[in-house]
Parts: sequence; C-alpha cells; structure tokens
Amino acid sequence: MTVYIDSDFRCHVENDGTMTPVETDFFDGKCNEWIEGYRFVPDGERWTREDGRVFRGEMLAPWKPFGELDAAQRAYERAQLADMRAALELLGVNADE
Amino acid sequence: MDAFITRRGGGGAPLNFKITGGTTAPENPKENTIWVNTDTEMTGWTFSATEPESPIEGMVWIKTNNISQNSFDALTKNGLTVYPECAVQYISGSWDAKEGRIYQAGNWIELWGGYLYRNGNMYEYITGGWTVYNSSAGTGAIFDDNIRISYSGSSGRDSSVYTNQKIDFSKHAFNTLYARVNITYVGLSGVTLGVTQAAPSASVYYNNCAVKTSSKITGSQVLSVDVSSIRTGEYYIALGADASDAYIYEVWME
Repeated sequence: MTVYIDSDFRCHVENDGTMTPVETDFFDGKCNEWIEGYRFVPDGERWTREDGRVFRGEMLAPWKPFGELDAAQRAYERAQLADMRAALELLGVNADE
Repeated sequence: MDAFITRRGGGGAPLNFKITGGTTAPENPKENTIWVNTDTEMTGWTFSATEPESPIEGMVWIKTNNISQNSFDALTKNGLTVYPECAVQYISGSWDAKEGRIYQAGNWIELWGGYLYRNGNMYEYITGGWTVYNSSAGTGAIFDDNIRISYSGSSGRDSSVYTNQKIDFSKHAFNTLYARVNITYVGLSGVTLGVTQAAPSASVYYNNCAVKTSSKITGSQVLSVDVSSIRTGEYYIALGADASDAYIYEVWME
C-alpha cells in the first residue's frame, strides 16, 4: 500500500501536499491509527532521534507508544470481525458453520 | 570470593548490601546480596555510572543508572540509594559482561545491561538461548563465536535466528536495539533486525515485526533500530537474511 511520510519520516494515510509517497506492505491490514503511529525511514535515508542517535533506513518503528497502537489495531480487528458476522447474518449464513 | 565490608565506629553507617562472586548462588542470602556469576576471582568491586579508571584484574564493576527497578539503600542509616544495572568484570584487559543477580524480597532478580548475544555468549538467562530457522535452501548455523544466517539454492532462501524466549520490554528502559554483523552477500530484502511477537520463522522481514530495520549494504556494520516507544509487552529479538548471507557477532540494547 501507499503511505505518505513527512519531513520527520512520520507516516500518514493522506497527503497534505508536502509529503513523500512510499510503497510498503508493512501496513497491510493495519488501521489508520496504527499506520499514523509509525515512522518509516526509507532505504538510503537517515533519521536523527532527539538524543542525537542516527538511524539508517530502511527502518520501521513506532513513534507513539506501541501499546496504544496495538490496542487500536485489536479494536479495529474486532470491529471488522463483528461487521463480517453481521453481513453473514444478513445473508442468512450461520457464521459458525 | 566474598567482599563484605562493614564500617564500624566513627559514626559511619554499616553497609546494607553484600557482593559475592562464584559459580553458584549463595544459600540463605541476606537482602540486597548481589551475586556475580564468575569463575574469575573477584579482587574488588565498585558501583559507578562511568567506567572506572585503572581497574585491576578481577575487579567487578556494578554499573549504575537512575532507572533500575532494583534500587536499594546502600547504608543502613541515612540512605544512599543505589540503582544497579548490571555487572561486568575486568579480565585480561577488557570488561566482561557477567550474569549478576540481586536478592530482594525473597527472590533472585537478574541485573541486565542489555546484551543478548556476544561472540558465542548467548546470555541464556535473558534469551533462553538462540535458535536458527532455515527455509529449504537456508544454511544458517550457530558457531562457537558467531551465528551465520545464509542460503544456498534458488528458492526457499530465508534464514533467521531468534531468541528462544521473549524479552519483557516492561522491565527495562532501553531505547535502541543494535546488532554488529558482517553482511557478505545481499539479495532481495537483505538482512533484517527485528522485534516481534509472532512465532519464529525463517523470514524476519515478512514476519509481522513491531519494529525492524534492514540493510542491503555488504560489509561489517552495526544495525540499529529505535525501540524507545516499546515499553510494554514481550517480544522475540530476531535477525533474518532474505536471499542474503551474514555473520552475527553481537546483539544488544542500550
């Protein structure tokens, strides 16, 4: 999928016109909150953390607390599962069959 | 190899800890006993956040920080709080990481400075050891002083190595994961250093990592990845080669 990275390599699901598009399958199946909690440093680029450490791309690492991203993704997957079950019920299919 | 020091008289406060060396943990330890697992005679010890100048052979340095969860008052009165991080011993001109444990509230608790693998030392008390996983053409193997991840063939070219047990990131506050490697051949996605909750597999690059970094550059280098936002949960540490070859010498966190 395509995500957009800003000048600090933070990921976005929409481009505000200033961002760089990047292709990656790392975020396949992930909710927007998860995606936008990550930083993607492409191969050949370098990112400097606040403490001065330099990281070379390619690197994918959360900048938001990973526990929050994980919780958001689990909620997203539960909601998707509930939607699928509702759709199956509408079709008269027993989801447990 | 005990070094138990108590000041008597002169108004000084007795010490509230003990440091002991040996290959077996002491029986019936007192609170705040620090045991350093070593077969090298302990000639002295020091607590310090910075490297001691002019160490003598056998000296044990208990590294300190300000975040250790195993802090204690070093004196029985007028507390001097110490935050032990890990134990190293000066042997043949360099500091050797040693398994260190502190006895608190009835339990031995590990002191860990962040090393996961170093030239054959697998730090089993943290990692449970390391295991290589190969796809059909993978030729990864564990040697005395390094780990190879590699392949030989035209398909099934993944090779990886994982810690046998997950590391609990809630117990430590490391910000960066490192691996010192020599990448001798690069193909496809190169060599990846990752942190993952997914079950081990021959591929790291495609194995749903929480954090990862990949290199497609040959030669000796240090891979590094930002783990400063991971403060909860347990994760495997892994390195994988995707149609690539590499030797791994050290893996650690700071």
